Amino acid sequence: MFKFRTEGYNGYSLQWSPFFENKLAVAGSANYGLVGNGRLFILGVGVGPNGVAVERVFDTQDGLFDVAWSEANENQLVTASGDGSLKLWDTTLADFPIQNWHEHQREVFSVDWNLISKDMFVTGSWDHTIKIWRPEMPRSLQTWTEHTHCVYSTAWSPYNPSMFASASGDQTVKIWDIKSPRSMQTIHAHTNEILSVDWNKYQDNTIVTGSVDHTIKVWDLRRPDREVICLPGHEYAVRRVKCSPHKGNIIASASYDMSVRVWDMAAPVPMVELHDAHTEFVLGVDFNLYVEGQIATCAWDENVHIMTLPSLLRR
Amino acid sequence: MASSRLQQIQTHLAPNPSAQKTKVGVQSPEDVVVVSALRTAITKGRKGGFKDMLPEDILSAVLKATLEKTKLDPKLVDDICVGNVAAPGGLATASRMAALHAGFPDTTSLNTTNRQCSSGLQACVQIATAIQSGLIEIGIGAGVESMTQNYFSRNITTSKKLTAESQAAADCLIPMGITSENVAAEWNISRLTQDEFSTLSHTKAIAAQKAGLFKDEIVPVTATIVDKDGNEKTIVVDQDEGMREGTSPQTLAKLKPAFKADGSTTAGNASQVSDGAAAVLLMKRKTAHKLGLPILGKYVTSAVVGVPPKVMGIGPAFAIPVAVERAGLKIDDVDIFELNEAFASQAVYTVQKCNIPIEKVNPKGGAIALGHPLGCTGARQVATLFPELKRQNKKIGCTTMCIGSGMGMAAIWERE
Amino acid sequence: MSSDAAFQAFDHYDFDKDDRFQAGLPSLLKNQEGKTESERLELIQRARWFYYTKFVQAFDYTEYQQWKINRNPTDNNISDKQDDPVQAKDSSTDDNETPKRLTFQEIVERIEKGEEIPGIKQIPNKLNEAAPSEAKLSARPKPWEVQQRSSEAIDSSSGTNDENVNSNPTNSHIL
Repeated sequence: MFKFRTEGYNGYSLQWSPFFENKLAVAGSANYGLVGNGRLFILGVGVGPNGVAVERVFDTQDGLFDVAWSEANENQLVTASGDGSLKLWDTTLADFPIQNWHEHQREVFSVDWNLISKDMFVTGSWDHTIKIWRPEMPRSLQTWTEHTHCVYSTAWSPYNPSMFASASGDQTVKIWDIKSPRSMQTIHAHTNEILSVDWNKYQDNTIVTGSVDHTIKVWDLRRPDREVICLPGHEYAVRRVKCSPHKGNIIASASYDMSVRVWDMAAPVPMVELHDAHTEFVLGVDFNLYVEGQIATCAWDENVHIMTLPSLLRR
Repeated sequence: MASSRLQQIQTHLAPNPSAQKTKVGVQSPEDVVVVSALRTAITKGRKGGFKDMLPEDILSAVLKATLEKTKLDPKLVDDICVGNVAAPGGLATASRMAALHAGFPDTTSLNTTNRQCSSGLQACVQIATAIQSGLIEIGIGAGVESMTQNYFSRNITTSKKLTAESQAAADCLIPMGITSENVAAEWNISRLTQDEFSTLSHTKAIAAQKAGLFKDEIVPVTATIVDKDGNEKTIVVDQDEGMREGTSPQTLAKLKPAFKADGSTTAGNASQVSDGAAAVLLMKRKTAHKLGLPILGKYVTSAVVGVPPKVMGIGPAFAIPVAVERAGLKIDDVDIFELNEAFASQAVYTVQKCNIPIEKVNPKGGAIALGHPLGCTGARQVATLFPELKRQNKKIGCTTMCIGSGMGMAAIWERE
Repeated sequence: MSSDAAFQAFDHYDFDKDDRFQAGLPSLLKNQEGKTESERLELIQRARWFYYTKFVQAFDYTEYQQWKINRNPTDNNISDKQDDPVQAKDSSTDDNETPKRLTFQEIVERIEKGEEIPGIKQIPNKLNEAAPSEAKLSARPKPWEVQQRSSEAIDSSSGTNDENVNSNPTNSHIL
């Protein structure tokens, strides 16, 4: 396992590059994200004496809560910040972003880049709204105000370029088509706030949610009245869920219970691995797209863990 | 900013996430919201439009109207609680019959409750609390009283043992009017002050009625009435009957004290004997969203306190501060008080003790002009409160009343 | 600020990053060849105190020494650097960092009391003036897209599925 310390900044989110299998972006916030600056770390993996080296850092006025690599330019990535701003960065250029957007009225918790059309990204904010953006346009393309509480997570569909999902503190998940002014579907997925949503990459119509109610649920969008399976196990709120890019039945989750868990929906006992090395809330987890079995996590303990988990290499 | 981020994390870590405190000014999916609050008109006891109606008939009408107005599927209502004071058996069986008659399936359960004059509010609070704790999803807090039918024949305990061995117990049998005299005497609330307050009640009620300010809350009821010749007639009851044009301190001064020869409490500065019913539909905000139902506002919190029975009228003055603090507010933050005017003496006492600006009190008049159908009042006040908060573009309301046998109750509501 | 907090702040102050301090150090350390290592360290510590008191925050050096002894009798460290794991070197700015590291509880208390949190830097709200890079790489197919394509290729009679497949770029772009 490689460890990297985001000294002075508590890790909120991370993402492996969609171009380079050894590049990782980490969004961090000072003072646990409650107040103070943010820092974006661009890390190279498999480099240097400790296996991880910093390629670049970018500092921001307010904390960073999410990051998304561009799918169109291998050097660019966008961050979501506590002051409501979004910033586009070019890793070839130091210090300052190449674009800044400030429309959201409150903290932006989520940013995600379209996986298929690759020409836009979606954001979710505490101001209850969702916006889509093009990197070359100075203003957002569209704003949806339907959620009645903080939007924590927005995720593009891996098979439909105009579709994305959102998860909110109003205890619902909504499915959206960018061509439609209103959501296509609303699922009352949990009895408490929903902090994360992701799409299954191998099963059409399947999404996964993680909630403050400690559970993870898998949903079939064609039958949204009840979950396909409910995965209890985390002892505190589930902060992030990610569907494996390699195996359709594998999910990873990060929680306030300081653990990272791997779930196999096809297994008789779904929870197949528990990673306990963090000593604080774990907020970020992401699978390396191009190195099967490799996963990275970030947490409030200022540590980023990069490891290969046995449960991800089975079969 | 930092504090709200901190609060968000603390909310995520709350041990029992669904047992969160309701916060004024913050909308949560777990809030208990008011989807509808309706009432019948209040008629004069023994001679008004409902004089020949049984309480269950009036109750059925307001429950039916609730379903009709909201188009809610009746089978989604889990439980109904009905406040009633005077009817035998607490009106339990008859209320159940009324609900079934109104269109609720037998799977909708029901109970009645009696906390004297606060019973209608007690019913709302019971339902709200059941929703908060997850026992039910949708419920109705209602209240009904036919003082015509039940007040004068009601059962009053006659245990000599209790009264002989406990002064406080004995004090519970003091007639309400005498408790009013006790309050007036103890705190020097003059006859004139009481009559002026009562005039205000009539003035406001008449103005409100003329301006049509009750139309959003009153549901018309088709009632059967027997005239003095014994003929049955069908009428539509949709107007409050109690307010009296031309009321003034001068006209009220002519009335003789009703309870004590040298007293100050008269029929004119006391609440009227009346008939009526009201119903408040409650559920969690997330349920209302799911069903696409409108939200008038939310129930924030409530409080019940005990006070000496012989001055029961001071109850609200002690309940209001507790409820307000529980809501995280100060008395100044409350925009409108629906303060039950059991007697002008105790209403004035409450206003003075709590330092409430008089313009915030009963803007559409109170029980002195409108009437006080005992079990109904607590729910009736909610129906009167919300349209007025909306009309004045205000946010926070408090419904409150004194309670015979020495208690006070208050609830805080927030319009949205 | 309490003296305890001031002493802690001094201990955590990153003198290595303070250019002004570093600039003055060589002349201070001149002519120190005859001195023992601990004497040299003491000199540097004093120099640090003098600098810190003058430019950051004043405090009493004797009290500080006493505080240090009380805290950790064997502790005479000058540097608090950790060896493991790898730390981020701040390559972006040369700002003086005062990394006063408060615990979560301490931060919460300050927020609740409305007190200021130390160490927040002002980052200029400006955009990079240089031209952004051009995208050189074409999209790399996702693992599920590859699978999709290979199953499509199997299904269809002909099939080349490498329109957009890169020959695995492995350069790690260390800047």
